[in-house]
Amino acid sequence: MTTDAVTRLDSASEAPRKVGIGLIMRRLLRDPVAVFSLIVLTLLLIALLAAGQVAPYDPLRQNLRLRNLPPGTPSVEEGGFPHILGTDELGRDLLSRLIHGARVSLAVGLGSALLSGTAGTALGILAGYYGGRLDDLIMRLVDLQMSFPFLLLALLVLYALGPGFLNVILVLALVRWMVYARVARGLTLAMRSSPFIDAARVTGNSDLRIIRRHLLPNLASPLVILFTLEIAALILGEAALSYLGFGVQKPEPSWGLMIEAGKSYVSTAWWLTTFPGLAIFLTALSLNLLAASLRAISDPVQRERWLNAGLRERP
Amino acid sequence: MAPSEALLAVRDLRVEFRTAAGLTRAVNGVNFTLDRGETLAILGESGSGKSVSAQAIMGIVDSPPGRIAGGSVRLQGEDLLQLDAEAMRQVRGHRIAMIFQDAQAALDPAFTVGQQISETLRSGGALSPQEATARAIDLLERVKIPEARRRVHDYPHQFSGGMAQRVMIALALALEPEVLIADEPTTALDVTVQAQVMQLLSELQAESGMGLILITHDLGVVAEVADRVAVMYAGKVVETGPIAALYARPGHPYTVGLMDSMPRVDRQEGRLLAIRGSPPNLMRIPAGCAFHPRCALAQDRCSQETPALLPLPDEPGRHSACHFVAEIPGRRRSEVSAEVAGLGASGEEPLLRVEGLVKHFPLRSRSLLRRSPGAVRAVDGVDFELYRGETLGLVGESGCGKSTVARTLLRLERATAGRAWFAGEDLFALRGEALRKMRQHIQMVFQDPYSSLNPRMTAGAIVSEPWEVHEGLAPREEWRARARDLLRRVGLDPDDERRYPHEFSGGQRQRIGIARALAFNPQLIICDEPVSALDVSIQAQIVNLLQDLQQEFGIAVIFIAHDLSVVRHISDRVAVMYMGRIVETGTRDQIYNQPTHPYTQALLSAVPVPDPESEARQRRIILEGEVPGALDPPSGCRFRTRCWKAEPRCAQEVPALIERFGHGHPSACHFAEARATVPVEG
Repeated sequence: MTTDAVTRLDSASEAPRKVGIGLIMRRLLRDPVAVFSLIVLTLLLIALLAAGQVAPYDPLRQNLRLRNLPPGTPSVEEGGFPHILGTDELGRDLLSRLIHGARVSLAVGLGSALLSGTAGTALGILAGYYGGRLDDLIMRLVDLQMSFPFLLLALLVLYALGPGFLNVILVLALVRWMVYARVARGLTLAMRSSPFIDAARVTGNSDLRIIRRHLLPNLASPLVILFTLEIAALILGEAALSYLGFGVQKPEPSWGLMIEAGKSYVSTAWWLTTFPGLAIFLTALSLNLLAASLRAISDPVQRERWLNAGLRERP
Repeated sequence: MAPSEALLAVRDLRVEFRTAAGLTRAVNGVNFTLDRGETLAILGESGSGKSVSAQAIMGIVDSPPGRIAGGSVRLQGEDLLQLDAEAMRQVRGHRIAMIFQDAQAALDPAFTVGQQISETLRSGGALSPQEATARAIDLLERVKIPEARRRVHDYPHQFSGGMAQRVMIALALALEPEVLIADEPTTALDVTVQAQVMQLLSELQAESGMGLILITHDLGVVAEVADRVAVMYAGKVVETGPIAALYARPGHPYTVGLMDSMPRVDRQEGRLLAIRGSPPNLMRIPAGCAFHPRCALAQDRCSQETPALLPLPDEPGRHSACHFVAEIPGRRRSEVSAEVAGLGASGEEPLLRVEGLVKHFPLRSRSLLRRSPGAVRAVDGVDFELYRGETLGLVGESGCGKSTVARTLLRLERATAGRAWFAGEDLFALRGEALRKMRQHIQMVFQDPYSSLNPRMTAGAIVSEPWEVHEGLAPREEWRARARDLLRRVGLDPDDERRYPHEFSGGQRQRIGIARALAFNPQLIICDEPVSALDVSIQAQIVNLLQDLQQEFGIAVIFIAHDLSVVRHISDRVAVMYMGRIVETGTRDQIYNQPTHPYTQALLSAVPVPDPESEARQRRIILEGEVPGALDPPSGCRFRTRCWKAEPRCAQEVPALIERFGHGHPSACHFAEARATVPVEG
């Protein structure tokens, strides 16, 4: 056969390495920053799934004799778990409320990030891929909403819908979708004219398949990073809404509500605001830190470099 | 200073880059000298260290990660590497100047060219603003920018690529440097403009007597202007010598390979002789002679002992770094004239017929009320036919509409007017499922092998995607085996199926692109400049591969290229385009031996021929000006604004593409006459 005459290419690089989940985990565990955020997020996940089992006390049980106990106070009950983070103004255990509050905060953050991410990405890709009037329509809507204060819009909608857990998720999704739409549209626009999309069309891919198989995987890494950053922003958003009294309602614990309730005691009981605030800060920080590693893992070009940089023996 | 001393002497120069992935030895002991009034060409493929050497001489190596690890650069005896930053600043621009490949990017967009030249002038000595402007106009006139007095106030974006490069040259010459380094100065330019700029450079050099270092990968350009050549490979000079002797009797196997890889407009050969493999990774330069893994003459000694750059016996001024210089054949391979495949058998239906193809891109007006301000006439009435198994070379400079023809035929763009029949079916009327079916028969190979593969898919997935998209072409169980077979056929390792595109070199990626096109077993493949992004030695591999596959599978090919030399080796017929129209078509021999349209003649003679003794240069046609804008093309014949034959009739009457010289050789010129611009051998 004639093609055998074609000179064989020398393979300068080694045989491809099988990049499995094991290798990625090994690399992650060598990175102290990633380990830190993984620990924080694992603790949060436990709180989310098994708040009832891990919390030492019922977060709603009041005891006015135990109001505003400082952190580290031993339990009044025989063999009871000490109030390591103290108690609040109604004598409820702060640690238990923090654990239960994590459930609310994370559910709102994840839920609304998923909802707004799906809707925003879909609209952004449509706008970028098809262009024309559809693009104009979607992007003018984005501009309009961008210029409108986020909290004001959320408050208006919540005022109409009434407060509540599900409504908060809905409202937060409604006010953040355009972040994804903008990013997805910009990336799609840049990628739509790239030769590999032309190649996919020449191969006979349908539009849907081009979007699903060729566009989305290439949008994935920036969007996943945006997603993690958005979760942090939305947890803060939920805290703000609850603080203003439009979010999760009392006595249900949420981090935002706890700060709101503790604000009158800032001078006498600092722990009421400090620990929920610290929880929000640590969650947002870990998500942001993990986003950097996620970017490297989800991109085959960067993955290799990332793995090599981490797994090389230190001199 | 002794009179025998060289103007610039580079001794054992070493530059390394420390990166996260390891130590890259970009320049590995480079030696050369440059005399006054001499043009030294540094020739090499990408990654050979030629540009980094120039940066080291200029003292502009990025540091970190770069580091000059050793050696000396003596300008009239003074070692530039020992100078401090301030002293070096006095050398740059004043004594050594440099011009770059992308002139547009090297100019500051925020200032007029006059301001930029004046600023440089005034840094060289006390000059009043008026004097500086006057000198700037002088300089612009010296580099032959028309209407220099007016254009001195223009901003860089108002200049075309060729004109911007002239501005760069003016800027470089402002302080009358002793040495000018030109780093790929014409690579980004069209071939007719490239000829203008090269001519200008050699004129200016003869005038001023400065030393010129020309860095390029183009053997043709080198032959045109250089006095001496230094050939670089993997960070080392492997051969130097006077141009004529070096081209006639290359003294290093790599030089021999480069010359054979180069498609030539003045020769017609069946196959290009490619160098096997690809240039080495600079982090893992092979031991001994860096070229030995690709060398046909290599023996054990080559992998153990690094050959020194030694003078060649009996050849004054020549040096070569090869253990087996004596065994290098004196002549290049015997020239075998290829059998020209016939036109499609007479009476046969063409596979593809294109009639009156027009594609205009309307300019989008930003206001809803105003009417569209016009259209870019990318393709403006193109007709041609293509027979089964035939290769048509479609040639023209950038912006002539050749790629748009391809994109409309592939239905990536909607044709404004015109019709096309493929195997009897109306190509532009196809919709939905019928269009998807048609795509199995017409495939494409893209210009840019870097961006035409989805970075998230493995080579195996890319090659088998056609079967995934079109059900019933191949059963799922066979995909893997078939993909491996295809990869093997295009010269890759079947085990490469698991790799991602970024793990391959440019040439290897282009092979994947070809394998993807072949997965359908198509009847027609449109190749849009498939080798223009690749190194010379890799280009030859890909052209040969395409030629083999075409012959094996009997595929018809439209091969699009911007110059005539690549096309010569692969085409049965050639069509030359200018500003959206075909100006001449014919068989390969007709076009190359008796071009009749002035544009074809100019295009043929503008291609640099890698042979310093070629007589073609004496008969060179250098076109004036550049391609006019496609928004408002000239009336009548579009070429008339650059044509030396133009008469009033050309402005009024559009010349038809009709047969003026024999059968099958139509030409769109009122004054067409056959003229051989390039001597033909073989």
